[in-house]
Amino acid sequence: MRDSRMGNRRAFLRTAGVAALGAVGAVSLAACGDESDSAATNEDDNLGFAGTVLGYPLARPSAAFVDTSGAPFNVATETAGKLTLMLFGYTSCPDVCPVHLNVLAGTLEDLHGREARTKVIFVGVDTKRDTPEAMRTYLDQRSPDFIGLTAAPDVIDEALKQLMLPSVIIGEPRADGSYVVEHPSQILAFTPDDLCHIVYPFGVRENEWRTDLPRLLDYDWPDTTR
Amino acid sequence: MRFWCSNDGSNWTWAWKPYIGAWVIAAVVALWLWRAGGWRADVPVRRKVALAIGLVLLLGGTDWPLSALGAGYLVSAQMVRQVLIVMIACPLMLYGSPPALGEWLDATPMRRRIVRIITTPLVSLPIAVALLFAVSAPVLVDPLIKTQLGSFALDIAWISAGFLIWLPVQPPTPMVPRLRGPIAIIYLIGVSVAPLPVAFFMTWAPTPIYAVYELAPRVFPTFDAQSDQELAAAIFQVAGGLVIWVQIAVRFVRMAGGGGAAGGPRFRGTMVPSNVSA
Repeated sequence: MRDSRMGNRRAFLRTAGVAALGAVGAVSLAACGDESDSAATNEDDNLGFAGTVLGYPLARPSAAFVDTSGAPFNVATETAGKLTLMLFGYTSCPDVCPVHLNVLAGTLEDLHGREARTKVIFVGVDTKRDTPEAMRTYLDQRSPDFIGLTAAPDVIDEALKQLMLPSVIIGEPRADGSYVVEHPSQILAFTPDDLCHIVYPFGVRENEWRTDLPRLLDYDWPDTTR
Repeated sequence: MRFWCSNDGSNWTWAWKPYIGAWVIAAVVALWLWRAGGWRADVPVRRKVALAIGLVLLLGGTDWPLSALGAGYLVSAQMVRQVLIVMIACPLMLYGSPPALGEWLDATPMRRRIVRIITTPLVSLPIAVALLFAVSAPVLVDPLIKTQLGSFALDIAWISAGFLIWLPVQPPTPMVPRLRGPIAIIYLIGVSVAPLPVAFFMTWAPTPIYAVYELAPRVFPTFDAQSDQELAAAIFQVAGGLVIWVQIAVRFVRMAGGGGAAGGPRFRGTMVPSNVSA
């Protein structure tokens, strides 16, 4: 029963991810009116990256997040010019979030040079349980360098909307008090030009990140901001 | 209820989930061994105990929780299974197998020829090691372990490799080993060394080599895939090596005490029924 629920949830996350990318593609189509400029969602258009290249880049969110020390954190200004990987999740997540974070921690652990300074931002969407303290403890288990952010639900939803991602859905509490949290599962990669040109679905491995991170730092993205 | 363990992507739970295939195979083998006289009164107790432990370990290695953990979550659990099945269960079952099996293998020239070929060290060891290499290769493990049939095939390969490795030094009674004394010891040293490249690769690979384990839901939240892989390599080298080196030590002590090649039937280079030299 539990497995079935988890499977359904993962399926939802995958579907939500695809839907979000579809939405980005739709926006791109509508904005450009030219099929060649549409969101690139097939493998040939991903430029050799392990993620999915967007036809229409997204700006860093400017929502009023709070970091794990309780201080305000503006992603757009605090990480400007830096390669930044951003994901939305929750500290009680049993599958996608810990795997994503473990893979990123393992990737960055042995890297040197500029790619080793990649910022990883984890936004806790389960605002009841993802307190700054809980987030810090959770992230420190992977890497003390990971940045933990949270905010009021409406602020998080606004940021998700800005990033063309579906809203968070908090399930009804069960008898034991637990509840399911449905959230986007992609990792958004903001490159030094302060735009997100590419999102990474669940399933990207350490060796793929190691190949992609140096490329993300130096890749000369075509100007598609219109 | 499922036939065999596989990586189904679900989150780990400690709720008991038996695998029908593991129980059916264990039951069929136990029934056959019983009918073949594996537990007859005249069979030495140590052989009956070895057979029972071998069967229990085979079931333990193919049923929940170890098989579920190994197939879907932790490569270290998979390595524990490999050591249990290949290095412990197989030789114990060969040691405790009833005389009927040895007599059946020795009953016709064709069977004798097959046994002679597969117990030739230069045949058995390369085939067994090739099997173990193959079922450790990510290109095979990652797709196969996602299906029950594929996972079953991997386990059958392990069991086959286990019997191939041990047959030259531990054939079913009443057959005598093809390799005895110092030659058996040299062979076992070869067995302990030959699969080490797999462990070496697992230890020193900079990233997790298996996608299924790298991307599996975590059983222990902070136990990451890289640490799991390094533990698996350690289990392979330490636990697997320990089993073989205990065997080597026991054989060496027996040989030194006159109970090895000199004490038993004369080494003939082929398997012969023990009553020939009795």
